[in-house]
Amino acid sequence: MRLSRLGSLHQSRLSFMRILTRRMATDAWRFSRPVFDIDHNGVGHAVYAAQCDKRTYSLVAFAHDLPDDLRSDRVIAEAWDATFALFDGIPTREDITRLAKNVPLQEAGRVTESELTLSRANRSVRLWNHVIDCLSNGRQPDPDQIAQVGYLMRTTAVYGSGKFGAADRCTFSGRAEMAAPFQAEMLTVYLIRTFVRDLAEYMAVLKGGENAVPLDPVTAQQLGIGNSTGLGMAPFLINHPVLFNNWIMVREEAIARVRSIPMATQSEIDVFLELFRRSMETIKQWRSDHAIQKEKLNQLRMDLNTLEGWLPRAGLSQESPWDRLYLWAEENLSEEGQEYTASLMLEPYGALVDGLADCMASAEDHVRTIDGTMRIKKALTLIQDNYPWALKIDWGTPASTERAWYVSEEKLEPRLGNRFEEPLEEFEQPLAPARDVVALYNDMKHRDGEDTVAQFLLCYPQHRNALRRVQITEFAPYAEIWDNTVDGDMLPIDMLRCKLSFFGATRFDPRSDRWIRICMYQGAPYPEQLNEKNADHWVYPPVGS
Amino acid sequence: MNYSLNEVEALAKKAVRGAGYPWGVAEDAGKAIRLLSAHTLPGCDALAALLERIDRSSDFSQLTPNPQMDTWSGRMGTLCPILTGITLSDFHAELHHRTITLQNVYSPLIVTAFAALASQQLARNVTAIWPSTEFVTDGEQCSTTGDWRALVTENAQSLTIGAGGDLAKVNERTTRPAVGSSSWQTLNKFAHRTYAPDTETSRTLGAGPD
Repeated sequence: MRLSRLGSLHQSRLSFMRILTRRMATDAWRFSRPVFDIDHNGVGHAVYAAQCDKRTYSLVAFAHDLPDDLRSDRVIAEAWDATFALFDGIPTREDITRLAKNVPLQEAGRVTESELTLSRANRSVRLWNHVIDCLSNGRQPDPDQIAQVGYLMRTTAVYGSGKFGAADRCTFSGRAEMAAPFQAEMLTVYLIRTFVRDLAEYMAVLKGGENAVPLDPVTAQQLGIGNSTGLGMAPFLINHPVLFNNWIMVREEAIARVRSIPMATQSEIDVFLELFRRSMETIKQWRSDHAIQKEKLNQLRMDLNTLEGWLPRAGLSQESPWDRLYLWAEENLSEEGQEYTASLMLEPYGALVDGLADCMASAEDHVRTIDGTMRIKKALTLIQDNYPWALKIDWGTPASTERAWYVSEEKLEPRLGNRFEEPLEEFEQPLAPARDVVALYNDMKHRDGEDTVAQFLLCYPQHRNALRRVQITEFAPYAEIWDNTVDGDMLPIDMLRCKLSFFGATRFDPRSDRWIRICMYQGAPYPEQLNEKNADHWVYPPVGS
Repeated sequence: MNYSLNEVEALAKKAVRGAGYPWGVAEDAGKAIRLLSAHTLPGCDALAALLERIDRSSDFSQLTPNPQMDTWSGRMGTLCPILTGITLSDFHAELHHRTITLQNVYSPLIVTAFAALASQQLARNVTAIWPSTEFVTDGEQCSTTGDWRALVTENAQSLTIGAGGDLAKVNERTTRPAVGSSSWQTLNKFAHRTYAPDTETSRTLGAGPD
């Protein structure tokens, strides 16, 4: 798939957040807050427990008193408003003592196999202060300000998968509740949201005493947890080709299943129309100051207006309604609108589509072993079939290889630079598959097609990375992003948005070509409210709420 | 200190790249060191020792075997276990009809990881024999008998690899390999070469304002 389409993807019922909320409701998870030990400065710790049938997961949260001038969303930050670890089980006092020494240090500390994730969050300062101010004075916050920002705190990293000593995914991926991708991370953010609400209400009480009131539940529901994402996430899609393929393939399969439905029932049509109506309202609230995103948002709004005008004539009660709708969207809407329609079409069909979530993970956690027995002619054919777009690129122009992905010495922050303006080549990360596969092709095409790739790689070990990727495309057609990731015009935010849409994020708000802010769980029920009726469509809040 | 398998793999990969190997080779090496570590074998020690010896080799091809020969040896007399290992894995089909003798391999423990990959591809057990040590793998498990510790950092003058053999007492698996601080520091030293120096330009433009 092309980057511009990947950068236009929207959340759907297959998003990881919604897979989790549906499961927690269906399996009647029990939530509690065994510890809330915060002092009069808003400093301390809390524990939030989520108990499923077989085990308990605990968010251990630390609240800090962060001076404003130290607040930064970048990897190079060294202090945060709040820091967290998701503990596997129920933490003892010793665990909390150990975590208190390490979690606030984030990358500079160590966690253990008992911790599944490590994360941190910063306040959205203006809204935070406004909300506490209002609540402490017995008032509810201004709805416009809530709508403008959408969250009180935003996470700036959620680390899992063995980082900084946390548990490797393979140690818990066999658990039913952890089988789908990123469930530990999604659970972490879900619990962080509850903590943030509680902390804001607590700080209001500290400030206002008896005058303070809690957040109105409807307002609280409108607050998600923001996330500020930069380049750290962008390489993920390139570094996990089989996993990425599985996400796209599952989504495509879901869309194909719905498109092949011969007739829709009235209640299925009603669900679609209702959610469409709600999403028109929600999208009115999405805003961005960034030129590109403003344009995309305008386009999306225009698309939805066009769709709204079409729906009465779309003949949804006739044959093959969704296939005809999708084909119409392809002809009449931008990529944003097409992908929005594709996601929305899935909504009435949970029974048909939700089971596909089981196929989204990848058993292949690791680097795939190269099959040395493949013949060169087969490898060349695979490249011609799966990288024709790359072969057509003019690699001779400076713009085509202008960018270089690298990691900075400074706190190992991932960065993107101009290779012609800075001395970066020596440090370049292998994140240019298009360029590298074409280089592989150019060296391989002169060889005897009957030779094996093993023989070829003996002379060209520098092509192992590219050849591995080519072999993956044999069984994973969506493994590769069909675009040049080192082009001067490449937008990293397209990669970020793609991954975030699979998380279930909404309100995409790029701050530059390489930073994006989003909102997670906006509209979701809090743990005490979660049930099977509200566990799924919360992402489309009812109009007027 | 204990580490996660992902940490071990990521550091090994970066260290191998820092020592001058191509990224694709480094990826295979990372996987190999992870595999060894998961079987409670000191992969990081072996890698640290190797990289100190072959740091920034001017010509890696000299340390790569020629798989057409009966005995695999380097052009200058020594073999790199990573380059030998990936050759073994790529040419695993050879093991269907012959044994392969490797001469003078540095840190030969690393080769056994690739023997495991060869075993997976062959769907047969693979055995690696040194004079007083035997390593057998079925691709998922492995067993080591005899004194294999010298083969972490020393050369193996002669190491024979063949299909077949029976697993002895299987090595324990772990998800928390212990790695000595000296080896971890050495690997970090090499990995550090893959990080670009922080400059004003880089800091201002590289990640952009948030």
